[in-house]
Order: sequence, then structure tokens, then C-alpha cells
Amino acid sequence: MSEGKEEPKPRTEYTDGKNIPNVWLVRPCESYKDEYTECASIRGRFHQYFIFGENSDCTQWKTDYENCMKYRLHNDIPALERVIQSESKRRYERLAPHYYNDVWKHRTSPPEDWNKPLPTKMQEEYKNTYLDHKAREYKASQT
Amino acid sequence: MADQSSGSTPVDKEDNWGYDLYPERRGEAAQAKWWQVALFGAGQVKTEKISCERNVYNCFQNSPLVKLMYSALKASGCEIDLRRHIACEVCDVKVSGGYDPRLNQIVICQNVARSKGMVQGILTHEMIHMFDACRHELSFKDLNHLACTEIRAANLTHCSFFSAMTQGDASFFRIQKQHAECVKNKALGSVLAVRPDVTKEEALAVIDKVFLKCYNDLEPIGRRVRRNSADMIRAYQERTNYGYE
Repeated sequence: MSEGKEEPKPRTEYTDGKNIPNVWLVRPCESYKDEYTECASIRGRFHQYFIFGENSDCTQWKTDYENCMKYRLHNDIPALERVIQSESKRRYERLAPHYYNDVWKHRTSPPEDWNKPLPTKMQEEYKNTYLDHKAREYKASQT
Repeated sequence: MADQSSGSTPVDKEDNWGYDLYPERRGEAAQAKWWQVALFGAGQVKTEKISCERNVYNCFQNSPLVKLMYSALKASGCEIDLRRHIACEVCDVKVSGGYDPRLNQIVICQNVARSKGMVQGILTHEMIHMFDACRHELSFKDLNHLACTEIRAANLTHCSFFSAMTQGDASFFRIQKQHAECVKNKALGSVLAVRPDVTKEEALAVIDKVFLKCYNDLEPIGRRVRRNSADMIRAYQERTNYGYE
């Protein structure tokens, strides 16, 4: 992604956490604590056993929480970089099965007929219905 | 588009299979019989419809899973219009909802799905089919594609431990990794309902063939949410890290 631009600075040279590439991946520290608690809880463990047949490794959430707090409290830039690295890895692990799923071909653009008009009879039925009004309200609120 | 939960509307064959479960799709308004009206309070089509539509709107405003699916679809270029893409109709009691690929609409069975929880489940399930149709060259005629999208929908929206137990896929002595069994059986049910020409063995063979790839493809929700936990909210909050905003 950054080929063709200037080389990113060597890691130790960042002094302001906001300038590190991909820092937007970092969540509020409380999220990491919450995920750790869920992962290590009894119900969470049961859920993991039900799905995977074994307990998942929760330590990464704890590590991320600690590193996140180190950055927040002491401006520890290498700690922030470790969190970014962990989030990037998590992102890769989640998206890889999606992109490697070759049961179907990936589209390059959405289907053209996504919004094709409904049959006239249906359109007439839908005029002035509850959803008709709410649909417009909802669309307006989403922009 | 069958089963107690939902599935996909079947493909266009000359006989229009499966559309008999959704009589309003063919233009007939379903008439309740006298004893259904007397004993079950059936036939209140207009009030049911409004109640159903209110539940739908409520889900889009408040349900983290539905909001996440909406964001994911919008980010993929397939924004949902509440009026165009969703319809509340009276259907056969065997189904609770479905996806009509011909008109690109989610159908919610107003006479079956009466609670917000059910409507949430149906919406999320069908929006996963829409997500697959939006991002991939999905052909409901292709058994592999159908199996894959049903596996993904069952994986992400159904099969909590308790529903697996009710189905018979798990018990207190058989817990380990039973989630996958539950997903397989749910997907099998959906595929068979939509494709009555396929035998159980054929369907199982196809499901087994695509299972590994499709079971691990968790987009856009990203996790198998644990019922009665904040997992739905966590999935919603982490959506920006995966491009769904």
C-alpha cells in the first residue's frame, strides 16, 4: 500500500502515536479488557468448547489491554505499535478465510439490478405504508 | 426459504417451487379459514402487517446485528432500502421468512414472526444471503453456492448450544465441537426445502464438500455470537476495523 510513497520511518522514530500508520485499528483499551473477560469467563469457555472443542487462547487480549494502557498512561509508543501489530494480525486472520473462500467468484462491482423497480402492483400496495414512510426517514438519518 | 427458521427462495423452475409457501409472492392474498379465525385469531392481516413493519424498523434502529449487516451491505455498495428490499407478508406456517432472489427482497412472515427477536433473527439470516449475493457471483441454481450461503447463515445466526440441544445435535454429554454438526444439519434442512429435487445424500455430499471453507468464512459478523452476551455489540463496534462503515 505504501510502495511508491516515501519509506515509512523506522519504528523507533515515531514520537506521536497519531502518526503511526494503521493506528486507527486500535480500539479503546476497555474493549480489550472486555474481550478478555468474555474469553476467560465460564460461559465464554463453554461456548469455545462447544465450537472448537477446546479453550481458546485469551492472552493476546490481555496483552493488548496492557499495551494499550501503557500508551494511554505513559505514551509508550512501542507498546502502541505492538497493539497495532496485533490488530493487523487479527484482521488478517479474520479476512483470510473470506477472501480464500473460492466456492464462488468475487465480484468487482455490486449487481446492477440491486435496486431494480418492483412490479407496479407491488409499488402501488406499498405506497403510504408504515415502512414506506419509515424507509425515507431512515435513509435521511443515515447520511 | 423454508424450515422453521428461514432459507432461500428456490430458483426459478417452471413449477415455481417453494413459491407456494409464499402465496402473496404469486399475487394471491391468503385467506384465513373460518376456524383459523375463530380459534387462532387469524386473519388480522392489516394489523399484523403494521406490527411486523414496526418490528422491522425497530431492528434497524436498535439491533446491533441488523445495524452491522446494514453497514456491511452499504459499504459493499448494496444499500438496503427498507421499503424496496423488505416485505411483510402472510406465508405458510412452515416458514418464518426468506429471501426472494428474483425481486431481491427479504420476506418476513408476519403471521409467524411476531416478536422483535424472531424478526431480528430472520433479518440477519437473510441479510447474510444478500451480503453473499452482493459481494460474490452467487447463483442460487448452483448447489455449491446454495450450500455455502446456507452454511454461513446457520453458522452466524443460529446454533446456540440450546438450539442445538433442541435439534438433537448436542446434549449435556455431547458438547465438544457439536456446533459444526448443528450448522450442517440446519444447512441440510434449508437446502432440501429449497431444492426438492435433490436427495439427502446429494445435499450432504455438497455440504461436506464446501463445509470447511464456508464454515470459517465469518464475514461480516466476524464471530459466532454467544447468545445472551454482549457479543453482538462487540461485533458491531469492531466493524470499522474491517471496512464496514
